[in-house]
Amino acid sequence: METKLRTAAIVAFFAILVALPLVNGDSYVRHISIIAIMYAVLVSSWNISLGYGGVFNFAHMAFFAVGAYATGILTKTFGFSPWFGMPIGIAASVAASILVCLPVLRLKGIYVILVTFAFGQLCLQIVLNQRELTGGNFGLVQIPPLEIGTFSFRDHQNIGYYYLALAILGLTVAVVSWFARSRFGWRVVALRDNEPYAVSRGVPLSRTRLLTFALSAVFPGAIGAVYAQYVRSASPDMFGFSFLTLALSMLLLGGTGTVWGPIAGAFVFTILSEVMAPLGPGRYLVTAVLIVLILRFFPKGLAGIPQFVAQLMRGSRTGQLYPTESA
Amino acid sequence: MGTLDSIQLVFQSIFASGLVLASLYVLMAAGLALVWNTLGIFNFTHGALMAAAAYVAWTVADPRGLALGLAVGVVAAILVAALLGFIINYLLVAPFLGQKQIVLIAVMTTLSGAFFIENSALLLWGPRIKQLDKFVEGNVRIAGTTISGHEAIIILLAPLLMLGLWAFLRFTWTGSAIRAVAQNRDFAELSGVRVQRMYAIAFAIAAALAGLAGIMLGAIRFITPGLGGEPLLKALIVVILGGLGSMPGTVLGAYLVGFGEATSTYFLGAYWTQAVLFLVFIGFLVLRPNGLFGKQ
Amino acid sequence: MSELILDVRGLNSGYGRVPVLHGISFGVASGENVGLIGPNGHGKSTLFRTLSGLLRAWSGTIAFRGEDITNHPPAEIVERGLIHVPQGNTLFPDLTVQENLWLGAFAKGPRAQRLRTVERVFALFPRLAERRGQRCRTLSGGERQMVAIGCGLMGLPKLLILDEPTLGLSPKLKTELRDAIAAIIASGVQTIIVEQDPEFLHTLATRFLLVSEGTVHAEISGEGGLEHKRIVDMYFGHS
Repeated sequence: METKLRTAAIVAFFAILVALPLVNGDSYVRHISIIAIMYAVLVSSWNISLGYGGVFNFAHMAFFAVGAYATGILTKTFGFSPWFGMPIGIAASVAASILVCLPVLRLKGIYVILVTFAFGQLCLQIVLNQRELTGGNFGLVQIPPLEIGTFSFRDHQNIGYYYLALAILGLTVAVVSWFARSRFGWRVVALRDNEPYAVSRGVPLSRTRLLTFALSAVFPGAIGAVYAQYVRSASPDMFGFSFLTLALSMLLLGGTGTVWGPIAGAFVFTILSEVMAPLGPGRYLVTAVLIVLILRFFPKGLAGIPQFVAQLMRGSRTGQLYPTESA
Repeated sequence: MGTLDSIQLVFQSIFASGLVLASLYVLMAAGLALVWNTLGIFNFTHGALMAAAAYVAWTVADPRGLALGLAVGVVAAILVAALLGFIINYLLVAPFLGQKQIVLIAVMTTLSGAFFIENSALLLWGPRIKQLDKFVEGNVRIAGTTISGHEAIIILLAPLLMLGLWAFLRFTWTGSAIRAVAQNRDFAELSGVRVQRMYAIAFAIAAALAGLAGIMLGAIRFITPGLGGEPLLKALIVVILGGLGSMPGTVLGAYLVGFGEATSTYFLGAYWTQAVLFLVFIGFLVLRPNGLFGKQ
Repeated sequence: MSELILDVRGLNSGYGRVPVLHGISFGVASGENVGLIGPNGHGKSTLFRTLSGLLRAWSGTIAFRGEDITNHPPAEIVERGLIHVPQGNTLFPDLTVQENLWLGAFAKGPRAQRLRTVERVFALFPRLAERRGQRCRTLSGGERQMVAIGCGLMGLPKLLILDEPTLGLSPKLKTELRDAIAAIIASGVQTIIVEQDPEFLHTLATRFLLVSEGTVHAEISGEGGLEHKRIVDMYFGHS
């Protein structure tokens, strides 16, 4: 019964997204939808390494940026066909993920955060310094868009990009759902929950972790390429704090370690941040406050809210609100 | 001998610029290491605090602001930074201590804090670029090369402040209590040390150090909300390299990174230095995951 | 019944959601020294962590010298003179013996008297005087235990809780430690001592409590002298 409901919900979710452009042709709505879908892909693939893998990988957004820049540079400057964009983006992103993962294999906890974070920042420094190649501060502009014959993906309010992004999201959801139930996924979760035990039971730590990183990097690479071709530019902001914090808040808001939580988080947050657009930079202040409040009062994200409400209704104050609190 | 002279010249210029960089890194990394050491969390607002302090100093000191002079500006900025540190600890760190995922949670809350401070700075001070006056005018000759007086102050200030911090931690009651809390939180509580208070003090001191670093930087570079971004990264590298939390390691790490960067910049140019730095850093971590002075 | 220095009533506590103490009640009268025995993992250390404020009491009350201290901050409880020397003598490993002792006297009152107190500690444990400049991580297990007790004394306790002070010590060291504790008691400090070996407590405690399954299961008072056999019976009869 529950699985039927679940399937129905999934079908309905994608049906709505597929049908949306047929009902609504507004270019603003189209843009927001594309951005929300792209965020959903980024955040739910991040969930593979951060949520299921429990590896504090802060380089995920950098993989996205690396994919975008690689696509931009190779298709614009070196004349590759835009159709190579996505393979290039994926290859660059996966290569970057393996480079980051190598030192991470031997590190734990805070070191992982620091190294992955440092990776993103150093990519940024390289981008800023290699001005001829990357456009430096101003970003890389005029990246060639995708076209089939005379049809440009930009035609009809970017309908091509919309469906391309949606297809990638569908693929992401399929892969993450498969991952969550696969033997491979179990191994990853086992490593997260009890590394020494998992290793002693024969889970190969290095290989599993490298594969986790590489798998989760495929999607930001793909989306990075499409994003670069969609907005026709890649900017150093993609490595920035703000972007990272925003994506992280989506993951948190949705709740890590579930398939649908991060996707819900991405949609809710994209829409929320559009609603707050009139506030200008003030919306970032609201976002920051919101993240902290969520962490403080709903440590499990959106998924934790029903539980919290139920607890309030029962009026039970004896049970601790935060079971994570330790001695 | 011409070649010998030019080699000497190369070394002199590397030495001078390396010393300036290293001293800046010492100032930045010290606070980061202090907080890590005491609270076991990484404070990602450190860079934003640098920017905030630089802005405050500018507002207080600059003729277009309150025009109270640089000295007042510096003091005000350090006080504001310390106060911000207090507030950050109270709002973003203290409520979460004791949770299992505190390391990750603190990264997120302090990142949000940095996000908040940087955007507030943008709202308050606008995008126009500002710069602080140098502390002193004129140049100083050291080791055969010329550096600005301001840079000379940075070079002197870094070891002096480290000495001060060391003496504080070593010889005062509060300092001992901060070290005690870092080593054994429960036993410190059982000894009558108010742990939360020590955390707040350590945080405020670290923030004040960040503020000072920001002011120093604000006279060399332009003040933007992102002023502290790249320095924060360097400070992170320094702290990891030194072995998390080890003060001597942090100082050594700062000088290694500073001189390494100066050397690499001289021979390879600024273009490739960042990449080289990162590759060396990754290689080093693979070989010695616990840093120079790190414990298992 | 004489006045109670410590009065614990219906105390419930535990870790996370797991209860460890199940409504434990007991009192310590003025002038009394209490020995606690009982199997490991049945709540003795949890009891002390709750008494000293490290762990929240879920329900029940703790009164010390007539005043309620339930869920007060640890520092305040220490300042009142209820001092808990924890098990496992972890100390501050990278501080010197002297620094450890000074921190034991962190509260205002004891801080003012630290020079006098430290002389007493050194008189009790002369070995610590020799090692005062040494880092605690370089000390032997017995020496660390002495430092731990010394730290407790530095806080000028009225009631000193010693949680398994002899853990892992040789018989010879145990005897030395027993004499030291006897001297502490003689100086007017009341104690609660946890010990697995009833023999050790024999001459120190005036009353015994058996703690198991999170409550006090039995007690014997010291009137008429404590017979070793009765303690052993009590211990093994219930566990």
